[in-house]
Amino acid sequence: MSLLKISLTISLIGIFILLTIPYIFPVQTSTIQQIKSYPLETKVKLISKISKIQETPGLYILTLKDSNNSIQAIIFKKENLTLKEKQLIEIHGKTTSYKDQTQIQVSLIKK
Amino acid sequence: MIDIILAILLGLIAGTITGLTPGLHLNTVSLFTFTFSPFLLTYTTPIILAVFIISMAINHTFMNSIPAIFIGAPESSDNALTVLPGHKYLLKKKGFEALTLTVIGSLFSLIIGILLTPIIIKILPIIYTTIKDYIGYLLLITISLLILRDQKRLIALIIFLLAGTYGLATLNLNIQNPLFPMLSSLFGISGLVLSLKNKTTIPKQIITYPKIFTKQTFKAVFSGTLIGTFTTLMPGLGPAQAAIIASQLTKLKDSGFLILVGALDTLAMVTSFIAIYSIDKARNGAVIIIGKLIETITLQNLILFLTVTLITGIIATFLTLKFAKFSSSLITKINYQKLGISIIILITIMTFWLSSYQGLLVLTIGSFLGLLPPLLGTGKNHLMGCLIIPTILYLIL
Repeated sequence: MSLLKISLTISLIGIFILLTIPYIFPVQTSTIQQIKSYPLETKVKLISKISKIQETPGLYILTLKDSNNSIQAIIFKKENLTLKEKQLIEIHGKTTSYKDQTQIQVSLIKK
Repeated sequence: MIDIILAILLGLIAGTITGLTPGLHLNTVSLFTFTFSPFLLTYTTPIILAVFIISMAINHTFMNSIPAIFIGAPESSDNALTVLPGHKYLLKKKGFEALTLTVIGSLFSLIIGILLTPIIIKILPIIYTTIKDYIGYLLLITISLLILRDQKRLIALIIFLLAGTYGLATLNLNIQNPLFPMLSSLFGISGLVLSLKNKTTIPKQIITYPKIFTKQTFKAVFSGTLIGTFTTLMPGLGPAQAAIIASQLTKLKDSGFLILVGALDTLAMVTSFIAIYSIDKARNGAVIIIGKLIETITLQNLILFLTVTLITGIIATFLTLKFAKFSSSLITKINYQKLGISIIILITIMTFWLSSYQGLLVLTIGSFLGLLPPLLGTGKNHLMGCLIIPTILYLIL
């Protein structure tokens, strides 16, 4: 019984801790240059202007630029995108790679 | 031709290492190959690199049951469910027989997958278009049936939901390789801890061979081929989830379940080669790398890949059984308590290397969560909620 109680207690408290970690230690905003140096599958947050929007059958490709660098952000199509070029946005996502180029797979966009 | 043979041999060696080493996934080696491809391509061609990856991948799916069965350490989510019935066989002195069952499943599904290739190429795009919007609901129904079938339904549901919450929380963390600590703890460490607590000793193993052509074999391979092909199309569904779905369609004993898991693991790889050709979708890391090396897969490429698959599969069958015999004799000469502790330490070190401090936290919590089902008298398969709930939410929402 004691192992059961210990396991149950640690599981419940542990899951609660795991759920709160992203709120206690949120993802910090990074520059494009920093994002390009991160390993793949790293969660990132970027505030940048959209320089170009491309549409393919399955996704939107945003080209985001700052003063020195640019990076592509990929959004899988689930609904229509109401973004415009030169718009400043905040994106949350994770780093991926396509043809040796770092990209961001977007999970959240804030205007 | 010599290039191809050399690539197959090197792939067999690499697949043996990745398959036998918990924590060393073939995706890691595939990515490593791709990273060094600019250098390697000065000596060889993309096709030869692809042949190497295919040979490694196929051999890996045969070999990875050995650590799962003999030391209770699943190599990845793909064979996490092998640990459960495999360990039962090990305690009945039949670890080699358990391994042979997975090899039977792998070999039969490989052959059937290759023979059915012309049909799969035709129907895959049709099935994909038809069902892709409903797979979340199908998973939901399957899981409901799984929980309702359990004698302790409420406990099963609670375990499933706890595991699902744990999975969601883990996948939401900003860590590298979250699956390794999550699955190693739920299905690996927790089982090892119980073995240490119960002072489990592995009895001397007897080399016994299962009957090959039985009703269980046909049921397992048939349902595995059907569901395995189907789940190839679905993002988020791997061999482990497919095993759960297939086990709902066909009542299988432990022997049949081991054949099923072996079949699904290998078939997933075979059908992923077909999928990248017919619907241009890559469903695992190794095939993603192949897609990057060879941008357009032609029919000639596919024929070569399937030929390499068949040759590798036949060699892997003998290789795996040899290693399994060796493992059977070795496992009883080793102090299982010390081996269990060593494996736990190895997994902990690998977790820190792959996923840092947060990975260790995930590992610790998962280890205790993984103890709950056996302590409460329900099935460990409900812990697959850690992947299934995030998958359902991703597909439905």
